[in-house]
Amino acid sequence: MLWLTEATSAQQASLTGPAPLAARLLPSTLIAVGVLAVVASADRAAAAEDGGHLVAICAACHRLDGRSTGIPSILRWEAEEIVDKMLDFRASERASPIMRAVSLSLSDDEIAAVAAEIAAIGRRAKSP
Amino acid sequence: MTSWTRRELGIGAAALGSALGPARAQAKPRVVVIGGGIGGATAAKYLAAGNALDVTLVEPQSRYATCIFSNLYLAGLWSLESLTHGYGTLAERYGVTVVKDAAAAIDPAIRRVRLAGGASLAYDRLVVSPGIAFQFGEIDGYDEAATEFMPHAWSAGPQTRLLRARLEAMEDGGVFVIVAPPEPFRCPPGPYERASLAAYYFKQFKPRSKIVILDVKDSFYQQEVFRDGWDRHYPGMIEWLPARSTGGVKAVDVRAGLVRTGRETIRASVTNVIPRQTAGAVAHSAGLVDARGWCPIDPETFESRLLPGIHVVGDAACAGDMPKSAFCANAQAKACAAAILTALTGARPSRLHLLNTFYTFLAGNDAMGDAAVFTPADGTIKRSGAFLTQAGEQPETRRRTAREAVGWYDAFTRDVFG
Ligand SMILES: Cc1cc2nc3c(=O)[nH]c(=O)nc-3n(C[C@H](O)[C@H](O)[C@H](O)COP(=O)(O)OP(=O)(O)OC[C@H]3O[C@@H](n4cnc5c(N)ncnc54)[C@H](O)[C@@H]3O)c2cc1C
Repeated sequence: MLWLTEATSAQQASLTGPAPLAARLLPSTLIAVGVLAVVASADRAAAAEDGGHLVAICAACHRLDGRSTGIPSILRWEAEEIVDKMLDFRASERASPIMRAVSLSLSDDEIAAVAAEIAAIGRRAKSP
Repeated sequence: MTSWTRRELGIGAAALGSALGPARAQAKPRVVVIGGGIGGATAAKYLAAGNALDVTLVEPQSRYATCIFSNLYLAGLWSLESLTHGYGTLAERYGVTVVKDAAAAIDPAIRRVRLAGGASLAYDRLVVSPGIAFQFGEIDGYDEAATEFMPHAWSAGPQTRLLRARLEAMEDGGVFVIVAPPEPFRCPPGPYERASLAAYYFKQFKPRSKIVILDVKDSFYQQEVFRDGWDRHYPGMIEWLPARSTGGVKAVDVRAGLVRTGRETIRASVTNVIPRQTAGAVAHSAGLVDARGWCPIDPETFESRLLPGIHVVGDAACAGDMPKSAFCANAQAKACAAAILTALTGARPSRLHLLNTFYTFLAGNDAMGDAAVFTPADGTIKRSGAFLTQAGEQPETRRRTAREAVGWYDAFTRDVFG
């Protein structure tokens, strides 16, 4: 069950309506701080082997063998870069309705966890 | 109770592989999945992936053609072959036992599925993802036999091929009539994407032709964006007639090619009738369907509210605000697989993530990409956020989305079929 994991209480605080979605937008001045906080929790999450199940969300659109045919591969980045991009999507600094929806539906801990997992898959893909 | 071995089910030993010998298989909880479409194939793969369960997928066809992108096939842009997928990877890489047969009956009391071929399968949990069935009888003259003359092409394969052949044979200046179905139906943007892509084909090869959409509704999904696209790409070619202006579609004469509404009779060169829909037949015969014609489910586990131990995902499920889409079927199947793993192996549950995206084509290089987020709430599933394409976007944005859509299809079908 590599893709199953325990839901933390933060994760349980799920979206319930359009208002919370808007409320979760980070002002851009806070983004850098946000990245640090999220990356810090990436270590915690990775230690708990968290995130595996979250990759199932990514797999609905991104190939997980490092190849891409129109949707960018997500396997070439480090965890910090992935977190960075997700926070940009959340703040709408990168235009993509789909990634905006995904980034807003994930909590900070989940973003950290999924970023760690993707980076790990990427490293495995690189080393034969 | 008879105990069935795989050999008795007519499955070759070679297909099983030594790792799945009976002794080991019996030690694991057994999950049977009915239907190897989007929901069923995804569920089988994610249930089998951890190697903790013995997973059997029951599907009568050896290859599955996706409805997704079938409108691009109608436009002459994709082949049907490139939309067709097999089950080899699910069997070989994930250890799913694939049984080529149809489920004929379910006996929840003894937890067995009887197959059309006569054998039966025992399960600890059952996943049912049979897709849709059509409800004929609403439009006079439109029954099962009529689909050979006025195809619905709403499940992919021979019907889609037939509609494409009709469009190819149509003379320039012909009239293509699409009868759009009542809610809820598989793929809300689908009928309107079909009109867009038929127009894309006509514009190149039969520019004097017309498309008439006879709707039984008064509005449709992303109406503004569609109409903006139709004005830009095919001015004057597509006419959408809502029920309020026609009085609805009353009857068809399949041989004469006539469609009668509440107001007039239209002579069509080619007609595509998309009928009212309901859950797939096996869900009905099993008693999984309520008065609305769909399967009520628990919004977190997708377990039937009518028959415990049986989960329903995909179009057949009554999933609140979630549209009947392949993307939703895939997301539901993952959530359902997680719930079943939790129930059978004690794995810790994860938080649900239910999303939908729709890539919808207005022309070969003009696509919209919509996304929505859903959350279980108040016993159902509510839409908690939506991020929709707007009319009047830059052509470059739409071109990029069209390229993205092609990449999505590739990645998505790999996620489903392995
Ligand atoms: C024109 C069109 C375009 C579409 N485009 C998109 C799109 O771009 N994006 C999107 O997300 N969705 C799209 N869809 C919707 C999508 O195709 C469906 O929502 C999706 O296929 C639902 O999956 P499912 O598993 O419920 O059913 P299906 O995929 O239909 O699978 C059902 C399977 O069950 C099998 N089955 C039925 N009865 C039995 C039985 N008794 N025993 C065993 N097996 C059985 C069938 O053979 C079939 O393989 C489109 C649909 C159409 C019509």
